[in-house]
Amino acid sequence: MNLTDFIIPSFLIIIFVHAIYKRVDIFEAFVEGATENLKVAVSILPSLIALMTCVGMLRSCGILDVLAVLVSPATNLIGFPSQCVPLAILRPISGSGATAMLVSILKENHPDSFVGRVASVLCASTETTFYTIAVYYGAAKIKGSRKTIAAALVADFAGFIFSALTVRLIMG
Amino acid sequence: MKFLFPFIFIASIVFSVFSGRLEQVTNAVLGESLNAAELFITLAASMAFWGGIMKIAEKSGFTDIIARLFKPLAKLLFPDLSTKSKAFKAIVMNLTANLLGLGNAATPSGIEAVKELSKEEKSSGYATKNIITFVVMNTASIQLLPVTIATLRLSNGSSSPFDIIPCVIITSLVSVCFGIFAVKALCSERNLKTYAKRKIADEFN
Repeated sequence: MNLTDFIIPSFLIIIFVHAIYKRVDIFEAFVEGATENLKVAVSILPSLIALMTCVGMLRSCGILDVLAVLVSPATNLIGFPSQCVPLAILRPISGSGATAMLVSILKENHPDSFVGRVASVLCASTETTFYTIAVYYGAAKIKGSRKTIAAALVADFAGFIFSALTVRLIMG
Repeated sequence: MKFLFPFIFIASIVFSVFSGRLEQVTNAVLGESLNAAELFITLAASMAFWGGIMKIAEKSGFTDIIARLFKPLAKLLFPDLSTKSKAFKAIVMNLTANLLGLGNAATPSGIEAVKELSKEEKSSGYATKNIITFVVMNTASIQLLPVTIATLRLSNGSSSPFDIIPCVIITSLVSVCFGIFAVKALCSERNLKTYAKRKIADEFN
């Protein structure tokens, strides 16, 4: 048993005990939150179908392998797995697309392999850049997003490099 | 997406003719919607479960407690913002929700934060340094518990889906830092003043 095994159980205990102390109807709150999120999930399904088909087509036609090979001299230099290059390209553009790609990477390489871990860390440590900027700026009617995009992509790029580095250094 | 979708279909079919993978692409078209249904079940279950847990935390005031812990950090990142302002409160709520992995809960308060920041800084709809910093922090994302990813790992055979947490925390922190440094570099006082002047001049002409 290592430390990370304790994280989820402790988190749950803290929330439940605190909720009992505050006299919250736990089951009712849970159902309310679950229903809300379920609705969101359902609203994502059509786009998910479209995206998974696109990702599947891109992967199966071989164009991503070509891209990965083109970039491989640079990525090999820093130890970034070439199978994750398409994921890195897709992540800032589409969240569901990246999830779809992550799933196919996890299926082809075991989740606990180096490639599987780097892919998981990459997805977990960064958000869908263009979508987030579009939603926030669109809803708040903000203009002038070039610097935001530039800075956000710098952050994403650092994230890609460090996802490979941390997995290599911490997990071996 | 509206351009990307048809482009990908056409491009991948055309490319597959040259790469000899036409059959595989057809299989993808036929089969990927089934994979999507499979993924949906995993996602829906994970979102529903953790959404329920987070609702409990919200109702008990747990998220408010965490938000209070974040005030000093938010003060550090947005020094010229008053802690009493609506923008500040929305920023803290958004960062807290992101940290706890409540991506969907974070969006409404994120939008409100951007709106309030724009109002307070009187930028007449242009992205100010604070706004850019805030949005970049959202795109870089710091999640302590990547539960969706972990659920995906588990359903694909991982023996310890959460063992990536230390890597995720470090990588998230590093990417957010890089993002903030990039904003500070791109948004030096001189840069912003000339940018704003140019935009206002454009509007007058």
